[in-house]
Amino acid sequence: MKRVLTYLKVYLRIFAASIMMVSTYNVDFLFWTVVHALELVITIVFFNAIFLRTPVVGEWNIYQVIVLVGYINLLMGFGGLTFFPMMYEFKDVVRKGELDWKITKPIDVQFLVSFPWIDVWDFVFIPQGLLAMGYGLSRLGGFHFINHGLPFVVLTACSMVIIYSLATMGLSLVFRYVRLETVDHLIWTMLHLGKYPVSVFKGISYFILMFIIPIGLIATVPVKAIVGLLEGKDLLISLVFAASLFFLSRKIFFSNLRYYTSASS
Amino acid sequence: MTTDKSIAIICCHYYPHRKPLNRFFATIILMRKYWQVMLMALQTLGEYRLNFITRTLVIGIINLVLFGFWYYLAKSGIDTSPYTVTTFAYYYLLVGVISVLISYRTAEIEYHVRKGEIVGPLLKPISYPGLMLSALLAERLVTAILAVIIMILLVIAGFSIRIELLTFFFFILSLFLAILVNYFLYFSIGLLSFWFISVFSFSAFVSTLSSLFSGGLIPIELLPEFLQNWSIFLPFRYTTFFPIQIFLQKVDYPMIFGGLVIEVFWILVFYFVSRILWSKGLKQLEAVGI
Repeated sequence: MKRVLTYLKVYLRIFAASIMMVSTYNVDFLFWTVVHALELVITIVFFNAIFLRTPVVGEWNIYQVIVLVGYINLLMGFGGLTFFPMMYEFKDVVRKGELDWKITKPIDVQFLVSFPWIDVWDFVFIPQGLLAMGYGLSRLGGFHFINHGLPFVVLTACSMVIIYSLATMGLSLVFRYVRLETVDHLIWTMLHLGKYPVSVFKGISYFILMFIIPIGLIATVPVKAIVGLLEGKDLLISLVFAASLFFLSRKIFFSNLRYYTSASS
Repeated sequence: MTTDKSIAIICCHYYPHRKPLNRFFATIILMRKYWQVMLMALQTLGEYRLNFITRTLVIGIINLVLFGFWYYLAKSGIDTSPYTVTTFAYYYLLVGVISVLISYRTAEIEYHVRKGEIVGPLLKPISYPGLMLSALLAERLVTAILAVIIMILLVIAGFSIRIELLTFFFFILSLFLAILVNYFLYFSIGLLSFWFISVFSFSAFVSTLSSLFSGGLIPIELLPEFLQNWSIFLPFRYTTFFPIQIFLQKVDYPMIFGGLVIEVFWILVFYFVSRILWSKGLKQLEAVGI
């Protein structure tokens, strides 16, 4: 418990420092709010164009898709407030040999690497996501907290773990290929693709989007939970997949860390 | 004065009776340094090949998923006219190729201005916009070669599409103009770095608008009518949707000419905007400790 509190305290210090940093660029922050809102509107316009032609797409109606789009925004916001900055900064930390400072601290090195600062700008995703989800759910009706809300919270945690593990595994390659700069691009792309319900796809493409580029597990399955379409096996698969991927990523991170040559070497 | 420039001036000054020819050779000599920049850009691309491959792969995946989405919709009997499964396949393949060809990141210009590294090229006898454009064209050449290989593979696999030689020529021309439209647009945005600490949000704003109005996300004909009408007055339509329309032979020659003229118009608009921003921006520039 004491250890958890220590890590929480470190996170809060990083959060406070990041708030100070973002207040310097407040015009940019406002502009980002507009950009993200526009992105959300454009995605809804895209789906609206589809649903003008059909009431249902792969068993999903427009309100369920709006919940899905909102959920992706929510994940982006959570990511920005937690480990996304790692994706932007890690390559430079390794290249410049600044990892020396983190390795020598009396705290888990993966934790320090994972939360270098907090991307407060991405916070705007959260209210926008909640708004879209709230609208979609209110139109759908029949929301039940125990049956829908609780599995949704668990699956959201799984989604975050999956994204984090994939990012960590990708970034671990930086120890070997110092000039790898596209991991953040890959993760953002995956999240954007999560806006398309995987249930539309069939056969091998469904399998790929579920487990290889796991946008199904990251986005479709949690939203299935909140809109009441979840099957018991989905929950189990997500839990097992997230846990396995996390342990695998941690193993990969530390095994690749051996390739790190510090600034002085 | 550099040797190249001296030779160019001497050519024009001492042999006036051969002026047109000398001007031509002088231009060639002056262009030599841009060839060098292009070669350097290609070398850098080779060095960062993993980034290039993953970036191309990412765009491929996005468009594959988008195609897959429409493919299953079309297969399940939903009306996707005027597009069929085959035209959707070509549409999203071309969207992928074109988005790699026309993409331009303002981050580099922003970095050069913020860190004062722009002073380096300024002190050299080379134009900064020319330098950036040369590097861009070299990189795009590699992408174009890659695109041609993919097209050949598609044709071998049986996904051939009949296209007239003249139409194909117009397609390539419109694509080249689209690269220039996007370059001057994003270059202008990048130059805002002279006034703002970060221009990434401006760039993202334009990219977001572009994703809808360029036809990159969804063919413009499938958008609501009022958005289709808006797209006519914006440059984005001519960067992606218009070249694809030419390739899919959905536009006749008068419309092709009209579209090409509009592309040239947008190039000129953004070229002059970038010129104004460049000259005003340089007056703003402060670089210390270079």
